Amino acid sequence: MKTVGFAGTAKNTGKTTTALHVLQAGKEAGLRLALTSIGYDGENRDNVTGLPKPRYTLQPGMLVATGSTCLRSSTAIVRAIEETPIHTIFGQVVVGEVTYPGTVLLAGPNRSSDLQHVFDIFTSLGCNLALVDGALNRLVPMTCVDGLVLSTGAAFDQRISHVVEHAGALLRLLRMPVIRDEVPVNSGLWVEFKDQTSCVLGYGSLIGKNLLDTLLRTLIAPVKKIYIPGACDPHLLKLLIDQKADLLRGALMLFRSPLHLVASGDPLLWKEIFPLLEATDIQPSSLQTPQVFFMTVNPFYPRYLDRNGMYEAAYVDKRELLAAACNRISEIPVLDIFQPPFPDVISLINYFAELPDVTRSLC
Amino acid sequence: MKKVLLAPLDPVHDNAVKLLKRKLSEAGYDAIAMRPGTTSEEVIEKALEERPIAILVSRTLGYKVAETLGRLVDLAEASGLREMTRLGVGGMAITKETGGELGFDACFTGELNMTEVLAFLEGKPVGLQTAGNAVAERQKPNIVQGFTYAFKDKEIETLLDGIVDQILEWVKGKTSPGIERAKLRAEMLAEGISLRSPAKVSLTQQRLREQYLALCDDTIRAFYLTDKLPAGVRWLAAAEIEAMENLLGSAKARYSPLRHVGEKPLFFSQYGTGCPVMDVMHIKVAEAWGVDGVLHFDPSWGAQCEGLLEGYLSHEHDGTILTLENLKFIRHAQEPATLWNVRGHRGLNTPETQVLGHAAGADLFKINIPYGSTAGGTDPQRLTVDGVYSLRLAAEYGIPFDIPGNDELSGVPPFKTFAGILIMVALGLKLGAKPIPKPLLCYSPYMTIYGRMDDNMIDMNIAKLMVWREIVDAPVWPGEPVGFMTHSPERVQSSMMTAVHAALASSMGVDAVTIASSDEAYSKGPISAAARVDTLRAVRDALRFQGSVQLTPTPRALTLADEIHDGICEVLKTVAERGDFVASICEGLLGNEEDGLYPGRIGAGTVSGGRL
Repeated sequence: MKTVGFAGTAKNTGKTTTALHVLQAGKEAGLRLALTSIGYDGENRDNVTGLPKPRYTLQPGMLVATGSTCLRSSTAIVRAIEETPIHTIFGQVVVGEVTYPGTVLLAGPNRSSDLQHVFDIFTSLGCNLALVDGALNRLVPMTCVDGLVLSTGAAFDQRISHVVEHAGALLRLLRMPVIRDEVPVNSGLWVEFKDQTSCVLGYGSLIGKNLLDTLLRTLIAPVKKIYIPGACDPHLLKLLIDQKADLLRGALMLFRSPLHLVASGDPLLWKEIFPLLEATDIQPSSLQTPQVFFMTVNPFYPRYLDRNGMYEAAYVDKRELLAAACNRISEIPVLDIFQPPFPDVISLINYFAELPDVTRSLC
Repeated sequence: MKKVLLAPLDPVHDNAVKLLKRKLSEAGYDAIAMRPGTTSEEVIEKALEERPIAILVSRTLGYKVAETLGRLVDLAEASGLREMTRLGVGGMAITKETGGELGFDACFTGELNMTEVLAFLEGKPVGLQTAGNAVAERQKPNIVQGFTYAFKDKEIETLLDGIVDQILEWVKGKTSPGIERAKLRAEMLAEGISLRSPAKVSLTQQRLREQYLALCDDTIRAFYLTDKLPAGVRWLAAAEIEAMENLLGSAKARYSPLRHVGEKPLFFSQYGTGCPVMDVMHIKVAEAWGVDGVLHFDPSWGAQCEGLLEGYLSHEHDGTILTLENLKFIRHAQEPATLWNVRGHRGLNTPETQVLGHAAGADLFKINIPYGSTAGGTDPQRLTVDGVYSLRLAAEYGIPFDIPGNDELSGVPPFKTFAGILIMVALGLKLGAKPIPKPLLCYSPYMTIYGRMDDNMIDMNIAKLMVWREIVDAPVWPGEPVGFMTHSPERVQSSMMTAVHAALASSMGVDAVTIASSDEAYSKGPISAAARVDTLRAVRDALRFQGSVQLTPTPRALTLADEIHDGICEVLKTVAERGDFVASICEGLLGNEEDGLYPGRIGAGTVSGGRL
C-alpha cells in the first residue's frame, strides 16, 4: 500500500481539492482507495471564513477512517469494520467501507503513531492507496506517510514572490539528504565526540534557552555526530553554531525528520541557517523524510471585508502564480489542478514504483 | 502528584488558567500555570522539563488562533511529547471543529466543566460520547420526594376535609362516557388491542370497538368507521418518523442544568406544536439548553370531543393530538432523565388521557377541576366525576399530578384560585395521590384592574409563594408559565421578564418552574426553537447572577401574604358552608362572572348514575 499525505502551507491552499483530484484519478485507475485526515474536514463551509469548501464524496468500496460521531453526520453509508483504540474529539476512530455513496466528515488520527495504526488496518483490508488529508499547516503527523503532496498559494500570502520563495525554502528543507545511520533507539539528544566517547541528554529537542544551555555545557570536545530527534528551534541552532563552531566543524548533524524542523521554525528561517551550516562544514541530514511527489498552487484566497466583517472569494493572477512557482521550483512537478497541463497524478505519486525502505523504517 | 501544565497561549487573558489551577489543585493535581504571552516553544520547553500528563491550553483571542495552536500541537509531536502528554484546549476562540482540526485530544467549549476536564485527565474520552454517557447516567428527579403533605394551617385542613368528603360522597355511583372509555382503553392496552388493528378482528376487539365507539362523538366515530380524518389532521409519513429516528441517533445533547447552585428548582418547558415531529425537535432543543422536564399540551378541539384517535397524527392547530402512538414517539425521543408531564385536566377525555399517559411513560399528570371546568372548559359536574376518577388513576399509577392556577388569567384573585388548588391538593391526598400546587406568577387582570402591582411585581409574587409554605408542606411549582401577561412581542423583553420571574421563584426556594418561549404569547402559530432558547438562556444567566441569594419579604409582601391567606380561608368557609362543590363552581364561589369566570358547558348532561 502506498500512503500519500496532503499538506499545505496554510488553510485554504487547496489540500482537499488536490486530494479529491487524486482520489478521482485513483478510482479511474481501479485502485482500492482509503481516506483519512489528521484534522477535521468535511464541512460545507469554512468555519472561519464562512466560504464554501469542497467536500469528500466517497464511492462504494472505498475505505475510510474517521471519528464515530462523524460517521453519523455523513450522507455516505459506511459499514464499520474495525473500531480502533484511537480517541479523538469526534469519538473513537472507526475504519469502515463505504457501501452507499455520499459525503463523509473526516476526523481521523492526529498523531503519527496512530496514523500508522490506521495504515496497518488499511493494508490488512487490501487497500492500494491511502490518502491522508492534512490540517492547516501541520505536517509532523505526516512523518509516517510514503510521500507528500504540498499545496500552497495566495491563501498563504497574496505576494506571489513570497509564496514561491517560501515554497522553495520548504522544499529544500524537505529534500534534506537522507542517510542510514545507527542511533540509539528512543534516545534523547545524542552527541558522539571525535574521541569515540558519547553522551545522551535527557531530552530530544533543542527548544528553549535552558535546553540550549545544557547542550552548550555538554559540548566540550570536537563533535563527530550530533543527533536531534525532536524539535529544533532554528534560532537556538544558530546560537549553538555561533558559540561552538570550532567544536562542531565537520560534524554530521542528524535530524529524525525534516518535518520536525518545519514545525520548529519557518522554512525561510531555515533558509538562513543552511549557509551557516555550510560555512562551518556541518552536514545536515535526516534519518527519514517523506518523498515530495508534487506541489500544487492555488490562486484563491479569502478576502476580509471591513464593511461587513465577512469574507469573499478573491484570486491572484493564476497564470502568474503558476509560472512563478514553476520557475522557482524545478525539483518536482508544480501544477494548478484547474489549469493545463493536467498530468496523470497517479504517475506523479510513483504509485507503481518501488518504495525505498528507509521511508518506512522509523514510523 | 500528577502534573498538569496550564498554558494561556494568549497575550493577555489567563483567567481560565487561574481558575483551572485552583480547581485542579483542589482535585489533587499539581497544576503548573504559565503566564499570558507564553510562546509555544516555552510551553514545550516547560513540558519537557516537567513531563505533565496533560497540557491544557487556553485561548481567548481569535486572531491567528489556528496558526498559534497548530504550531504548538506540531511542536509537541516533534518533541515526542504526545506519546505521554495529552493536549486539551479551551477558550472563547475555540470550537470543537477548531480543536479537531488542530489535532488536540480534547476540546472544552462553553463554560468550564470540571467533570469533563477531570475525565480527560483520567484518560477517559471527552466530548460528544462522554456527554452522552453523562446524560444517560443522570437520575430522574423526584419533585414530591421529602414532602410530608402535613397541613400547617389546621383551620384550612379542617375546611378542606369537609369539602373533600362532600365531593367524594357526591361522585359515588356516578360515571361518564369519559370514565367508561378510560376503562375500555385500559382493557385494550391490557389485551394488546387497538381500535384500528388490521387483519382478523377478535370477538374481544369487536366488543371493545363497539362499546368505545358508542361513547364517541361523530368526528371520532367517522375516523374509525370510514377512515375520515378530522379537519386539519393528517397522518405522519413513515419517512418523517424514520428521519427523526436517524436524526436523534446522530447526536446527543449535552445536558447542563440551568441552575447555577443547588438541585432545585427543576425547569420545565411546554410543547404542543400540533406536530409530534416538531414537538420532538423542540424537546431536544429544550433538553440541550438545560430543561429538566417538558409538558405535553393537547389540542383544544380534542378536549371538546368525546373519544380519542389512534396512530401517528399531526394537525394544523394548537396542541398535539393525544394518541398512544404520538405519546410514545415523543417519550421515546426524550432523554431518560427528562420528566414528562401529560396534561389532561380540562377536557372530555381526562380519565383516558391518564391511561394513555401512563402507558406511554408519563411521570406527571395535570388535573385541576375548578380551573378545567370554567373559562370555556368542561361542565363542572362532568369534570368533577372525571377528575376524581383521574386522581384515583394517578394514585394507582403512583404518578404525581400538578394543579395549575391559570384561572387567574381570567381575572380571578389569587386567593380564590388558591382555594381551588387547595381543594385539589386535599382531594388528591385523600385518594392517595401526590399533588403539586402551581401558583401562577403573572400580571393578571386582577393585578392590573385593582393596581396590586402598580409599584412592583415582586411583593405580590413573593406573597403568593409564601402563603403556600404557610399552609402545607408540599412542593410548589410556579407556572404555567411564569411571567404570564408580562410578555410582549419583543423577544428580549419577553425573555427578560421570564428570567426575572424564574429567578424570583428560585430565590423563594420553589421546587419547579415552568418557563415560556419568548414568542409564546405572540407567535401567531407554533413557537420557534430560537425563541425557546431565548428564555432558557436568559434564565440561566439570571440564576448565575443571583446564585443562592434569597430575598427577604418586605412588610408589604408580608401584608399581601396575610391578605391572600385570609382570603383563602374565607373562600373555603363559603364553599364548605355551601356543602356542594359543583354548585360552588357554578355559583362562582371559586371565581365569578365579575372575575371573568364562567362555568364550562362542554359535556353538560353526560354524567349518569348516583344522585344528581
